[in-house]
Amino acid sequence: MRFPALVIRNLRRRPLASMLTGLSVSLGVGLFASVGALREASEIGFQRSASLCDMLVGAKGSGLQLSLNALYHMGQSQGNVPYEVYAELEKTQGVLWSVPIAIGDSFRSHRIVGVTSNFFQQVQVHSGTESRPLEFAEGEAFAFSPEAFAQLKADLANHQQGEPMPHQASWFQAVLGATVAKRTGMGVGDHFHPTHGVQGAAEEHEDGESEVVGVLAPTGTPVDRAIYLPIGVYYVMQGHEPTADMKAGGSLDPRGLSAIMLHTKAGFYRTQIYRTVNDRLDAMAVYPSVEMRNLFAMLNQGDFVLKWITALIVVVALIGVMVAIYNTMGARRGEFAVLRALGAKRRTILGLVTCESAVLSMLGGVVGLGFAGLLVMAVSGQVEAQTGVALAPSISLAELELLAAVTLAGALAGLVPALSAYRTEAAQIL
Amino acid sequence: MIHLLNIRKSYENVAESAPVLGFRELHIGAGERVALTGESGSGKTTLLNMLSGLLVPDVGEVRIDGTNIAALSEAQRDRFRAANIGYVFQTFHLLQGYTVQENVELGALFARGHQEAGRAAFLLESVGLEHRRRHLPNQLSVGQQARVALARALMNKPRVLLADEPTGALDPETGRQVLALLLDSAQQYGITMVCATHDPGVAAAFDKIVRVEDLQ
Repeated sequence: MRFPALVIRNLRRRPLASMLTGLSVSLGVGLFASVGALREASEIGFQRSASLCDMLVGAKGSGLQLSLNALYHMGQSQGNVPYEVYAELEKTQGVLWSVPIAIGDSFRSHRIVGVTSNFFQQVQVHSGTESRPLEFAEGEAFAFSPEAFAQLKADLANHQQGEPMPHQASWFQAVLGATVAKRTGMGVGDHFHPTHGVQGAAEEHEDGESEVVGVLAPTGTPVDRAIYLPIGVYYVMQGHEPTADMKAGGSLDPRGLSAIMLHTKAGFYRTQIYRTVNDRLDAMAVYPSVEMRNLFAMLNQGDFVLKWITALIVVVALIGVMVAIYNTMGARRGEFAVLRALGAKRRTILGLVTCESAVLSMLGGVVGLGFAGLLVMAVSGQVEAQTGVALAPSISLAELELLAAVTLAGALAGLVPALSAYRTEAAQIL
Repeated sequence: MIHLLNIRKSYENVAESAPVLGFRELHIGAGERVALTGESGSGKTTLLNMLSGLLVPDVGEVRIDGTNIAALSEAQRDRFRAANIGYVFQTFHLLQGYTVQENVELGALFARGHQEAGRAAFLLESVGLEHRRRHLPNQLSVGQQARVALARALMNKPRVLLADEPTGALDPETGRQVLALLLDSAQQYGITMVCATHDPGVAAAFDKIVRVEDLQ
């Protein structure tokens, strides 16, 4: 028998008390870790989605609203940005690629996003230090190049009211995000009618029947929750024509764009483009990653209070460990006296009780971290359903530091009963 | 082997400061088996505790194999006790929640050096309890508990075996068996044995009887 076995055996001798005190620590640690883990997993997930492009350009307004609307398919659009902004940016030095976005229709509550086909070639999904392009689980991308979009815009400029809209039947093709395919049960070859509006209104675009030509592989980003159509389709479907009160070139211009995704050269060019766009009166540029960072900085204020509350729960649980062990001291004096008579030093007895408290706290902490992981997994489905952001429980340095801190705090809590044990006078008891 | 010189011991919490124990000299030879007798409160257990190093005299020397353990620090006395002393208590004090084998193994837990593999099993066999090694103390009879306590006391191969009223809690027949086992073990392993008892019948079985009152 060795000293560690003695510690474990002493804990096992009081299974119910050890289990209950360990459980109280695990609940405290679980709550504390959950707050941090959920926030961290959310931030990582949202930042991964924010890095789908460097910059977003949209109508003047809230940068956060633009980011949430264009990238996360949440909230309402704050208006359109003129097509000319996109056309100029395409030719701007330092722009590596740009994808125009049109938002406004949906299918069974899944938003339909109009894009040019280079979206599927250019967008990269970042995970840690790795990045990979969008992959198709089934089928392929539709064909609607930026050049085809430019031609359509030129044709629309010359289009007279009453004439048939300039379009080709082959444009009515769609690519589904992985979640959409799973939830709707649709696959390559299926047809659907987009409905007008993003809230799932019942009014269908009778002339917008589209065929699914591709299904994207899961990305863990909001891409999974969207249906992609050639952006040209947005301009030729009935119901998207301009009306008399919509001023061409303004933020209500139906021929404008909901947003523009940009990927630029880093450094000087990126800063220059950002400033140039923001100097305009009809457009603004935002960094989605900065918007998300700011959002989480605000949320962290709430987290701070929550963390203090859960930290107090951990402290109360550790006091519980101390009290539970302290309450056994009277009954264990004989045991300590025997161990002293067998040659145990006073500091060995001190270490024994301290280690019991530390081990109990550590085991509680390990179980608590497990609880936190399970909670993140349980919540991740809900978060993914609402935002498309996949949360993954992970063991980070912060969790290991928390475990070490709880173990140390447990050892300190154990010092109170340990000092009582330390003072045991074997000769008086035996 | 054991040499106590000019011993004086009193307790702070005793109302009158009269010494509990005070004598000039006590010598016990190597391998000798000595019974300490005397009335209750005469200081038998105090003397045993001084021999184990759990207590130190206020004045005097407690030499075991030439080492004055009264002059050692508490930690040094603990180490000395772990390596050299075996102790059998009146109520045996087996740790509940530990198996018989684990209780025996505890006897060498604090001694320096490697525990001898299989020694606990060997000792349990020698006290006739190898078949009970996985049992818990409360599943044993009092006599069996006494034998486990003896095995634990022998686990660290002590040079001195101390026993405090080892038969006090036993019926006469079991007491005789346990006493015989204690004496035989001490003789077999060449251990110096000091046993406190108030029972003249028990004391008579030892090589030498020391009446504590006569030491004063």
